[in-house]
Amino acid sequence: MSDIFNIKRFGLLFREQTSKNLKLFLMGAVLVFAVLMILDIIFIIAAGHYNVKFDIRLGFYSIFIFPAACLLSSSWFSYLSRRAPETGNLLLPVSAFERILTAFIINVIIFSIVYFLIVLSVEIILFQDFQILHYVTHFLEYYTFYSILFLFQSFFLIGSLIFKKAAIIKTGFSIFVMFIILQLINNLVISIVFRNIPNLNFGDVFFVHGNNIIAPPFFETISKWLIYLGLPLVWVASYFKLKEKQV
Amino acid sequence: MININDLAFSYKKKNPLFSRLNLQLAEGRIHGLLGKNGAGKTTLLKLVSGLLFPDSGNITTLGFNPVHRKPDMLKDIYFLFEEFTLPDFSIQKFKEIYAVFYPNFSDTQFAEYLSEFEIHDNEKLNSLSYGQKKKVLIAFGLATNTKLLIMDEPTNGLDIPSKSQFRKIMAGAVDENKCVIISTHQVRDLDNLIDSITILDQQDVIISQSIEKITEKLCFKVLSQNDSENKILYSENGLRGHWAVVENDKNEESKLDIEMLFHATFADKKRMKELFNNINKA
Repeated sequence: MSDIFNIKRFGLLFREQTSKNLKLFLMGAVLVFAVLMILDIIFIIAAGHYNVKFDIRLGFYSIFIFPAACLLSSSWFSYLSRRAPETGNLLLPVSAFERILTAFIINVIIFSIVYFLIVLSVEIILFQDFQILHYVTHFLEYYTFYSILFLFQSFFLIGSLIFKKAAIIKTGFSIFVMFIILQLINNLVISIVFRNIPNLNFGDVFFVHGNNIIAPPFFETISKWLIYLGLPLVWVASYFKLKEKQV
Repeated sequence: MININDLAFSYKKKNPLFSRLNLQLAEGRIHGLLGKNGAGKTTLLKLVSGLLFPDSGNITTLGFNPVHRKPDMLKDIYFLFEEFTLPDFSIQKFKEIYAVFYPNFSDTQFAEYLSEFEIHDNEKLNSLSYGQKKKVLIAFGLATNTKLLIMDEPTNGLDIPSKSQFRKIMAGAVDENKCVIISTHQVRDLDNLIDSITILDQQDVIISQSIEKITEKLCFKVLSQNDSENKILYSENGLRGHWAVVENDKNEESKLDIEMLFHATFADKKRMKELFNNINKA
C-alpha cells in the first residue's frame, strides 16, 4: 500500500472528518444563511424597496465569504494543538498527503459549493434572482477573485498548523504584517525610481495609456503568477508543516 | 519490537529530558513504564509512536522510524491517551468510523470487552462519564489487535471494580506478537499483570527488566528488626517487622512488589543501575 496516497484510506479519512464535523458544518451553514438573510433584509429596509442593486448584494456576498472561509480554515487543524488530542487523531493510519487533500476538498471545494448554494437560496427567497449563477458557471472569468479567496483559505489553514492558540487572530495579523512589509518595499522602490518627487506613495503611481489607467503587462503577468504559484506553494508548505507536526 | 538507541530529547534546550537513553522492549509482553512525575513517561511514549521527534539518536518501532508516521506503521499502533476528547458519536458509530482503519479489528472482541465493562454500544460517548469513556477506549484499543498497544495511565478514572475488570481483560489480551506498554503512577494496578518493568528517572532508564530477572536479582521479604545478613536496598516499618527489598544473594524466591521496587530504585539508584546495567533488556 502506498505511503503517500491510497484511495481507500483517503475515503475512510474523508468519512471520518466529515462525520466528526457534520454538526459543526451544519451549524455554520445555518449561521451563514441567517447572517446573509438578515443583512439582505437590512438592505431592503434601508432601500425601502426590493430592488436592491445586484452589484451591491454581490459585493456583500464576495466580502462575507472571506471571514466565513477563514474561520473554517483557521480551525481545521486546531485539534492538533489542544492539550488533549482527539483520540490520537494524528496517529490514525493515514498519510499527511491524505490529510491535506481532505482539508483542501472540504475547506476549499465543498465550502465554496455550500456557500454558493446558501447565497443562491437567499437570492431566490428574497429577490427571485438567478444572476448569481453566472459567477459560478463562468467562474474562470473571475479566477482572480477565486484565487485570492483560495489563497486566503490556504494561509489560514497553514496558520491553524503553526499557531497553537488564537490561530485566526495570529494568522490575520501575520497577513497584515506581510501586507505592510510589501507596502514598505513598494514605497522604497517608488522613492528610488521617483527620487525627486517628495512624499510619493506606491498608491499614487498610475500607468496611463491614452485616457486609461492600466497596469503594464509584465506587472499583470507577475501578479497572476504570484497567485498561481502562491496557492500550491502554501499547500506544499502545509503538507510539510503537517509532516513535522509534533503534539 | 521497539529499539531506542542514544535517544536525546528536550522541550527546552537547556533542560534535556533524555540524553543517551537506550531501551529495548520485546513483543509478547506487557511492559510497565514507571517513573516520578515529569520523568518523561508520556514523552517517551509519544517519541515511540511518532508524535514527538528525537533531537538525536534512533528509535525503531515495529521496524519503522516513527517520525515518518507511515500508515503501514500506524495501522499497527493504538495509543490510549490519559486525556482525550471524543467525537459526538454513539459507541456503535465510533466503531464504524474508526475500526476500519485497523485491519485486525475484531467486532466480537469489542463486544465482549464492552460487555465485560458493562457498557452498551448504543450509548452516546458524550453522555458517558470519564471512566466509562476510558473503558470504551480500552475495549476499542484491545479490539484493534495492533502489534503495539500503548496505554498512558489507563486506570486513572476507573473505579475499583473496573480496575479488576481491566486486569482481567488485559491478562487475556496479549499474545506472542503483541507488545503492550502501560505507563502509570498507580503501580498497584499493575500487580500480577505486567511481564516487565521499565523505570525512568532524570534523562535515563534505571531498570528495564523482566519480572523474572528482577526477582532473580532482588528479594522482597519481611526482615527482623536487627537483620544484618541481607544487603538491604530499601525497607519500610511494618507490623511484622521490616518489609524490605534486598539483594538476592541467596537465590530466594519472592513475589515482586512493584511499589517497593519503585521506592528501592529511588533509594539507591546507583546500586540498582549496577545490579541491572549489564542486562537491561525487557
